[in-house]
Amino acid sequence: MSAADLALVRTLRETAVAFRRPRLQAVRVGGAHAWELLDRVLPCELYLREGQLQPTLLLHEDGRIAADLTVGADAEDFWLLVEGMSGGELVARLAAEVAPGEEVVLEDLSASRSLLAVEGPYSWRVLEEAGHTGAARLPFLAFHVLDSGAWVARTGRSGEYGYLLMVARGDEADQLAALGEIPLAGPAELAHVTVEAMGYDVHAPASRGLDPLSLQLQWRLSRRKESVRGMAALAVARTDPDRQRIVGLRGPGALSEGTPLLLEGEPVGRVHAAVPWLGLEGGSVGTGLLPLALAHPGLALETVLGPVQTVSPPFFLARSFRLKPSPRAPAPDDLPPPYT
Amino acid sequence: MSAWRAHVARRAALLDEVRVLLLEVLVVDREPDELDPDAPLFGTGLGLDSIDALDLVVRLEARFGVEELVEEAGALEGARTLRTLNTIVDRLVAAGAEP
Repeated sequence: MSAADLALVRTLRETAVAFRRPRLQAVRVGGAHAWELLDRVLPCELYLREGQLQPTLLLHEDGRIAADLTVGADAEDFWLLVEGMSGGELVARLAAEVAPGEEVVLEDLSASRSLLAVEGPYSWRVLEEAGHTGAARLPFLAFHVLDSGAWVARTGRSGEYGYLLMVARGDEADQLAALGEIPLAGPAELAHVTVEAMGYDVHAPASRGLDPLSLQLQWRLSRRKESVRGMAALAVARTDPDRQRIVGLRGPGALSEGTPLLLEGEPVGRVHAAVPWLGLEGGSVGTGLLPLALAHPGLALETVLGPVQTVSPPFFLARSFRLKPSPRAPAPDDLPPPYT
Repeated sequence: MSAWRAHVARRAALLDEVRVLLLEVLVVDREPDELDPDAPLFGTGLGLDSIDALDLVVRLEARFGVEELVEEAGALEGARTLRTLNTIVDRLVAAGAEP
């Protein structure tokens, strides 16, 4: 990443930045049997109140991840936010699962809606000052149509306060301009902060061949959904004594994806994801893929580029822990630097 | 046993115990090995809330004989300590807890 890109990452950790999210697409599912369809297709238990969001996944038959999915419910319909497959592909997958006699309406919104994101400890203030009154009060993993008429969801990838705005396609530039002087970041910065938070990035090449067990995403699944596509393969994978799991990594040198990880001179795994560490010039943070028995923090490993330590993420101090998202709350004057 | 083997064995045993304690608090239909060590505990599918967190801290302190697991360092440190199972185990290891 360039110095300018890293400066945007630091800005996100200190204040807020905006993103266009063209690879995140929306689908609406309605009709009398919408819940039955989603309950049959999704690998999670659907415990959703009106206005809530629930992250889950779509799986391939062999248990690998096909798409990153977030499900929301309003008074009438379900809203699916999908990444890793298009809205059209998701509609096709759902349509193939509709049982005879079921009444389900599937609408791919990718031609009519776009998603923008604002992330950072002061992202709530950006939205409030842009007229999206009520954004600051939105609970985590909730969405709402605000007084401004905007569809806003509180969810993010950075580990700080984060919001998604669903806007009419074609209005993105005006909506971004309405957010004020906030910097606009891109996919590289989003990928970077996701690694820092040890979040899941469906677009990361290294994750494409992995299943939710390796990627620590079991919280998005329910073991009881054994008839859902991919879940039988995961049940078998759970019994594999040689399976691997990601673990946080930090080292003083430049790590890159695929670099072998050595223990006492023997290869035991590889770097799964790595980004420059803003806490140390020349250092890196990320994740390593190690056998389950070794995938614990506190292990000193080596690479050809030098030593590396397994650690517990995140790799930053989240200012959002210190900030109350309220326009009336006094701003704290002792916020720690995000990287130490 | 080499130092790293002892370290990994201790962490794995502590992790297993913390998983069981967490399941007692959450009362959810999950197996211990479904609780991934770096999955966020708050606000996600595991759904820990502040009351659960207090309950968990009391149980951890009682089980491992550790005092002031999070209070000592303040709210920010508390939030970081309880962020994931691994951050809880980090704190237990630092406090000298044994499985």
